Amino acid sequence: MKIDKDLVAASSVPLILSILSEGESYGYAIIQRVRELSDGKIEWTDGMLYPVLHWLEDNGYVRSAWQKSERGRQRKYYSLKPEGKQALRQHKEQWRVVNNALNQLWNPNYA
Amino acid sequence: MPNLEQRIADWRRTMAKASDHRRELLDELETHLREEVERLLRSGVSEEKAFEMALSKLGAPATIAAECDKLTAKQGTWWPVKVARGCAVAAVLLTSLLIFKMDGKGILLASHVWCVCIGYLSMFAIGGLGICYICASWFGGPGPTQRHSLIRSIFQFANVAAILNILGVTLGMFWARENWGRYWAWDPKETAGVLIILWSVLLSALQWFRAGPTTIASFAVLGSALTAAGWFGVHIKLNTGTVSPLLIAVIAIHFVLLASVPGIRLLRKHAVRN
Repeated sequence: MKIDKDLVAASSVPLILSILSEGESYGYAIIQRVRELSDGKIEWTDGMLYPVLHWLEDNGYVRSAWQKSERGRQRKYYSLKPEGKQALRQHKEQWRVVNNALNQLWNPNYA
Repeated sequence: MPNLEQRIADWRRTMAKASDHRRELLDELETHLREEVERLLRSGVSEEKAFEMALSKLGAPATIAAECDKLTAKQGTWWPVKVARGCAVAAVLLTSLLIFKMDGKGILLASHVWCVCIGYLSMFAIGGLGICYICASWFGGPGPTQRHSLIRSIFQFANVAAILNILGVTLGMFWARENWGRYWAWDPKETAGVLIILWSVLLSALQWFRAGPTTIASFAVLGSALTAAGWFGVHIKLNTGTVSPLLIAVIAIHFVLLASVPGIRLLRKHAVRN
């Protein structure tokens, strides 16, 4: 089962912010982490991640810096700014409301 | 059969065209592409197949560029770039008006003065943008879209500066031949003119290399200091025989800002790590 394209797009920002809340990361690692978390069901076109990361940086949610990896490769690492943490809290609240509503509809015994 | 490096270079050219030469996006996508190709090679896939698979996962250049345009459209141009462009228009109008009033000096001298003035003022516009970038970087810096508009603008001004400086100095040579009987004598104004030409050409040429925004901004600030010394410094020295303390202070500020650049790099790395 593949996740619908619109749902993938809608979940991209909270997913990226949540992954970055685990610690600094870079594009390739973020994509791998999303695949790992969703068992490969959330399929991103890899290149689409970068416009979203740039949008997050433009809006002051994340910061970035080019750094050399252990293997000598230059990578652009991203980390959350306090504004990003605040945005993540809001996303969590919104997704919890949606999750709760759907659970009640699909699962009448859900408290 | 092209090798992997050749294929990546070809892809980068296509992607650069599609994405309006967004340098940072290109560098990130290339790093991503290389990581994926490496992973596939390690799993035993052939080089050709690995490149094709990685490219297909990365997405079509036009689609990525369109997504980038969509998401970054609201950010627009960074305000210092808008100010610099406004100043450039005002400078062109004002200089043209002054030249128009230079009655009886001849078209050759008027054209020389116009070209050199606009060329040198472009160098100051470039320096101003570099200074704005360095100052903003101390407070978190402009985002990728704003950095892109800044770099693009610096190169546009650098191209104008290089062309007009070369043209202006050449016209000056012909005027000197007509009036002083020689083309060139390495006097202080001419020497400063050549140095400013070289710097504007160097700045313009930087767009063909993979220089980062901080490096480009540093070259821009140095160019502005050189133009201030070469234009105002030489004129003040020749006309009054003194060195202006105000000019020294202005040039010193340029160097203080340049000295702070390594601190910005450290600050950014530290901020990401923590």
